[in-house]
Amino acid sequence: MKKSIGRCSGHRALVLTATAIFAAAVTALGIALSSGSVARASSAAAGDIPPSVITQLTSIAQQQAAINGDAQPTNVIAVQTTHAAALTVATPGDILPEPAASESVYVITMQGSFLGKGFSSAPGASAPAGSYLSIVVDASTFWVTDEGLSQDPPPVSPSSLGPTIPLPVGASGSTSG
Amino acid sequence: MRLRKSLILTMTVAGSMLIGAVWLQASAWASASCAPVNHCYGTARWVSTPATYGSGGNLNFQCLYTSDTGNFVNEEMWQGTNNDTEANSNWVEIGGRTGEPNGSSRYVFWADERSGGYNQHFPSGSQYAVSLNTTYNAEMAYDGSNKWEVDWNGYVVGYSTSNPPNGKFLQAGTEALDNGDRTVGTDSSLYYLDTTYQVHFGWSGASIWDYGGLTTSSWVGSGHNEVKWASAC
Repeated sequence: MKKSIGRCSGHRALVLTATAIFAAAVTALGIALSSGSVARASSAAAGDIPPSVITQLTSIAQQQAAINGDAQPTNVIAVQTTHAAALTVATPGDILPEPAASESVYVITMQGSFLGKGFSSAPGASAPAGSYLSIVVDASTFWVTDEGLSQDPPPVSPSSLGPTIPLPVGASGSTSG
Repeated sequence: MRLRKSLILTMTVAGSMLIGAVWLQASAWASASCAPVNHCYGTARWVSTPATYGSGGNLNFQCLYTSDTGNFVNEEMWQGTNNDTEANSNWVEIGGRTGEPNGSSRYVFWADERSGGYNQHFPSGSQYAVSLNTTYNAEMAYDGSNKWEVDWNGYVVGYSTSNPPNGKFLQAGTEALDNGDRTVGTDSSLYYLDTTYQVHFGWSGASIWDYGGLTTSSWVGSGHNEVKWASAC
């Protein structure tokens, strides 16, 4: 006989409810465990960045620091994240459409006394200056996708996006050995 | 006989004039003063425009090369924002570039300056590669809520937010950092959008502006619809 939930007896309804609660609890536990493993994987991923990638990022950071007038920057770090999140650090206020927004990138940040020789400037104006230089790099091609120069620190901390990697550039290189 | 002599004389004078013109142009390029801290420009420039909500044109790249990829050379369009009549510190721009930061290829870039600092973007993908002798439409348009949309050849490449209207400055042409840079191109069908988004073709109030001695720029035809710029190539 075909039965609907509305026709269940009280006992049957109780069993069904208990089963549903158990299933929900198992699902919630599963989600919690998988979230934890994602978080751990994220940490592990940062630690697992191949030396060749760190070398590439360091090279790009060194080149950009030198071009923009300070070959001895401090606090040079990189973090892997999405392109959209990277822009909140590097070029706050600029937004990308999809699919570019979801691409995996590295964002490199550094402090120094920069003169933006690599930046387009207002007609007839001198090169822009800033204390915080940020560079976004495509994680698969190492194409430089974005650059930001500001007198103010990034409004979003790079460390809020994931585990940061120190890059041995300039003064950062000498302090980190 | 007399006619032949006259013809030879005319050809000699014409030849001398041509050589003189080439020499003068070469001298002008040789005396350019482009530097990373003092960029050269070859543009059509319109300061204190009527209030605009955007602008655009069709960029054609005929020569775009730098021998020093630590520098860059652009062919591009600028749109002033925030009622900045000379784009001193409020603008959006889009165009094609070669050199820093992505080497000797030719690629699309867009950039802005506003209270938050200087930002520039180099979208990846084959649709953002720039080829010579190819025409690309570029447009920047106000999207409301202090946001400007930046478009390249039908693709939205990004948005500049926290960047108020109106536009009061327009410019199209080239920006170079090195005396050895080579940049030749045109920007045709120049237009702007008024604050009701009506399209107005021709930058009627714009003037030719060559700065730094690298380029010679001029209008093509009448109506200020098309500008061309040229360095040595």
